Amino acid sequence: MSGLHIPGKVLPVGIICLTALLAQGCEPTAPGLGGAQPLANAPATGSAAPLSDATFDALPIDDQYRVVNKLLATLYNGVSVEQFYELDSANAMQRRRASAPTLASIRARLQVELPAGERQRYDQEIAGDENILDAQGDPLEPTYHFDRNRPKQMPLARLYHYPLSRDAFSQWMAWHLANTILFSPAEEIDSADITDVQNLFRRLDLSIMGKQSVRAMIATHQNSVQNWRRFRSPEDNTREMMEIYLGIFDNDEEVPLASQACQDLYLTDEADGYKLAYTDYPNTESVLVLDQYVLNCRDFYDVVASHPLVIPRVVSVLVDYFFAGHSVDERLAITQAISMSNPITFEDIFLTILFSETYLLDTERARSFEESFLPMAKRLQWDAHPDVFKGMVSGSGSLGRADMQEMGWPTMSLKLGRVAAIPLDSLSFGNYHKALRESLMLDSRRWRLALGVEQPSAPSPRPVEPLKENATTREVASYQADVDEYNAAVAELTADERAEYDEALSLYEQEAFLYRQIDDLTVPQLLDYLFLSAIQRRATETERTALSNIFYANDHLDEEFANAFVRSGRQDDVALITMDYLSRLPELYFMPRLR
Amino acid sequence: MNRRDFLKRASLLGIGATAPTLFGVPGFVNQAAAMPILDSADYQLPGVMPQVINVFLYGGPSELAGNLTNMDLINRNSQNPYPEALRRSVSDGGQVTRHGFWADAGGNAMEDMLAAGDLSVYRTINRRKNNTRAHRPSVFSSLKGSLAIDAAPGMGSTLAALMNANRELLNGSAQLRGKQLNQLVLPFISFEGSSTAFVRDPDGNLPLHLRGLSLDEQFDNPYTRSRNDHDIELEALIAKVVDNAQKIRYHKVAEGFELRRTMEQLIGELQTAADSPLPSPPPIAPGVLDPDVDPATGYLAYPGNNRFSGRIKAAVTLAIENQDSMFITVGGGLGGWDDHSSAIEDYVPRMNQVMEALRVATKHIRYSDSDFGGTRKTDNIVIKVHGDFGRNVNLNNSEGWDHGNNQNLYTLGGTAIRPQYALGKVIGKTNVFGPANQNRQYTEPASDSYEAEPLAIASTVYKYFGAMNPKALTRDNDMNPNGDDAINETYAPEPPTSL
Repeated sequence: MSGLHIPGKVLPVGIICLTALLAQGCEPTAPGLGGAQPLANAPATGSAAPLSDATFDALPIDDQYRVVNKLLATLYNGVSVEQFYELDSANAMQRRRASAPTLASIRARLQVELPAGERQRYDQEIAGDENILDAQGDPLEPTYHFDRNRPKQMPLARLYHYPLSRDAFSQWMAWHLANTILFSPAEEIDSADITDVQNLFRRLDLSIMGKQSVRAMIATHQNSVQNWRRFRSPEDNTREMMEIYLGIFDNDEEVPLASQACQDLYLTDEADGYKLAYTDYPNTESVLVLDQYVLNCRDFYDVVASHPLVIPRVVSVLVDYFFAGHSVDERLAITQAISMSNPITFEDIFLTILFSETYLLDTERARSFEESFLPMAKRLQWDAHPDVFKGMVSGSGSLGRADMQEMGWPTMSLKLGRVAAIPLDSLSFGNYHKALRESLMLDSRRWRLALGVEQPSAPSPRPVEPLKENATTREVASYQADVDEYNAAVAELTADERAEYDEALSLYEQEAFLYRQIDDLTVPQLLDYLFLSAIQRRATETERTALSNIFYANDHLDEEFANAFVRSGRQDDVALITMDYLSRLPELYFMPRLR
Repeated sequence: MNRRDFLKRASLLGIGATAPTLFGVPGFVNQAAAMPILDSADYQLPGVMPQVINVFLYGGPSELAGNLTNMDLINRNSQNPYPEALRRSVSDGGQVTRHGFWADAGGNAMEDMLAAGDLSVYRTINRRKNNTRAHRPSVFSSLKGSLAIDAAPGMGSTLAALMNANRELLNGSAQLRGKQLNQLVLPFISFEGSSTAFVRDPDGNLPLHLRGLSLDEQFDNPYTRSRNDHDIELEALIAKVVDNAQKIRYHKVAEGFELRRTMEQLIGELQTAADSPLPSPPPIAPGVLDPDVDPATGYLAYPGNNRFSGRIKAAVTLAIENQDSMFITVGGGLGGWDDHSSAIEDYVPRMNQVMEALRVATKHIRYSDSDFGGTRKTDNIVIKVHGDFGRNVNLNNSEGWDHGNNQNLYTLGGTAIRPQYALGKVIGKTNVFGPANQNRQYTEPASDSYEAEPLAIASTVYKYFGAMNPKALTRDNDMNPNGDDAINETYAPEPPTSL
């Protein structure tokens, strides 16, 4: 039965929807526009109004860097100092690079889907593929290692490995939703397992990519076996649907009625594989629930999915997380502003939140571990450890210390999803700090080269260093001899060797260029570079003085230049001390408020 | 306008028109908090300072493990039948123990503890006020000791505030063994990470050392810092940079850093204690070892392959080794006891695991006492075991139990802080209500039975610690203006069950 019942007659769902549409009820048939522009008729206003490009452009450059990184950090991403600022010594970190990401460019990239072939290639790089050969002709090795919890680890790997795109954005949205009360697969309970995680997450991702509405996604989910494996009896299931999707917690008198409508469904036991099955005893009498007559479970689920409270409720769940730190009144105002913009898809809601002025400029809240670790890894251009996602999700492998479960932040596991507030009790935070500090910020072997604080190794034959502007005649002659020798050595390479050499040389030249730029920075400039990389602000005078004293005491400064520069080859030592210091700052663990 | 009227109007007018009202619906956003009035608790130093371990069974455990007294009617009315053994006594090959417990669901262990005077079972913890069968309000009200679930701090925080408010009486007292309140080490501990029991009052200024801290059951030490070559210099700089304004602005993380160094050392000491052997109890008869003793070592041993053993052992070890730990919470993930389907096959071994772990815990406590060679009296250690709510007694069509109300409180140990005859008994009797062959079948306290609200558990804890008017700490203006009294532990026991 696909209609809703009122006494004496059946009202087709279509008519019900027409009525409910006036109350933003049922699924509208308007074509999806997708992307950053909300599907809704009007952009959000008031507390959820977007930060305009003009306002962004008017911000001081360091604030722009903070805003961009706040936005990207929320998306588990980041932009390095080198990618954002000009680094030449005359204007080091004073000007934005032409290619630096801005709000507008990020917004645009979130709308662009990866070509199918490209996405497939990224997936092959992530998981490896023995049928594909790499540049050296060997089977393609996996970039990351996985274990039995791969369905939980793969989304993070994709988020980290995919370029900024709608595909990555969809993974991120699905990740958030699957970790909230709205769609958690609740893997912790006996009746759910890792295949439920896999199937539920995949369904969320496909629905988002397919531009399905919030209501359609809720309707589909309610009817799924994953929902029944989480809420396992008619009474449990119907109670929770009203609580989770409508925010109605005091409806005990209607639970037995809704449960009666769902009496034809049950979950088999463990021996029978926890399947969703029919009892063969359907309800035969319409019951009044939420002011609608319903006969069966599908009717009830339709009433929930088309209910006027659905949108404000799901918005409020997300607002509670992203705007934690704001007062109740402020969160209510934000929830109201977003709801009144008539969002249709979760993408509409997320985009409104992410690009809102209130979020980008006025919100200060604790970062989740994903929001700290992964963006920091991007900003430091960390050569990702292949066990990183095994560690974060399962606590296994070489990065087991990064286990989010130990931080009170398990993945897609909790029956009622993660709570809105990041757990910062002593044990959770102890694990958080230790993992961020020791697995990333002090793991300088994996970032010092890309960050430009270690001199890169040149490929052989070693290219000749550029001639200095004030070179002597003798130096010019020597340089020419070196170039001739180098050219002769390159000419002796075979074609295959030459191709491999050219690739290595290209990488080396990039690394060497950055290294030379960093090598030219004064101690205060180098500190600013490191501070901006980790914490998106420059060092204060107190910090500059104290850290310089530590560098001096440890013989890291170059006396030849009156200690104004770091000694050659010691930049990584200085960076390590600085990262250790920054890991101890409370502000590192918060999304910054700019005003 | 009631909720139904409201919904009707909302659907007629559209969300825009009703939005301001809409957002007032409970659950839309988290609310702020406020501390109960501490002065009205009338504090007096307790004779002995208690140590309370609060074991919370998230999800809401069925009462049946501790109460098969209504099983004939329950089975007759249930949509699906119960095993026949639940209506026969153990002496007749069934499952019903002398006091009406479910033998395989921890009932045998409960009988042992009852006989040893270590346990009392209250069968009628029943929510009359603001009766809800939803997890969130039930968990929150139980762990906050208040029906104002969005507006109250956790019971651990209330307790800490009560003690802090009365620190002049406590400081240097014999009850604190001459210590100052601010010298106590790890006084409020969670073994469940971030716990509702330690939700703070944002307006209250609870000192750092009285705030809830969390440990894990292995006493793992994440507070250490490796590769810490410049610690002194860097910490000196941090002390300059992280000023009071920053400490307030980033208070939770700043506190975490402040506590880290202290914890680093303390955890190391606890690890040593946890690795030491447990006490060795005397034989129960000549040549017959206590069944909870490992014959290979002669020492007590918590059951292996038991998901509750580790946490309960850790909590008891902490309480014994560190007399400063006054309130310890133990819990787990929600869903553990939410037996909506396949209930019997999961619930029976799980409840048995809890009770067998608790039986060892009671012996761990007793044989650590100075009467048995320990370093101090341990009869101040109390364990309370309860959950969100009880469950319906109908076996639904998924062979499970849906959310109910009436539940058991299992309370163990702590003879020094309870009235005489408080332990070794079963309190409260129940009747079955609800139409046959429908889901809503449940027990309620019999009309002549003792009963208590779930908030009475928090009230009892406050009373142990010296609140003379503990119900004042559970009250709120809207739903519970009078508050709830502590449990009456002198109530006469029910007689053993006869079948």
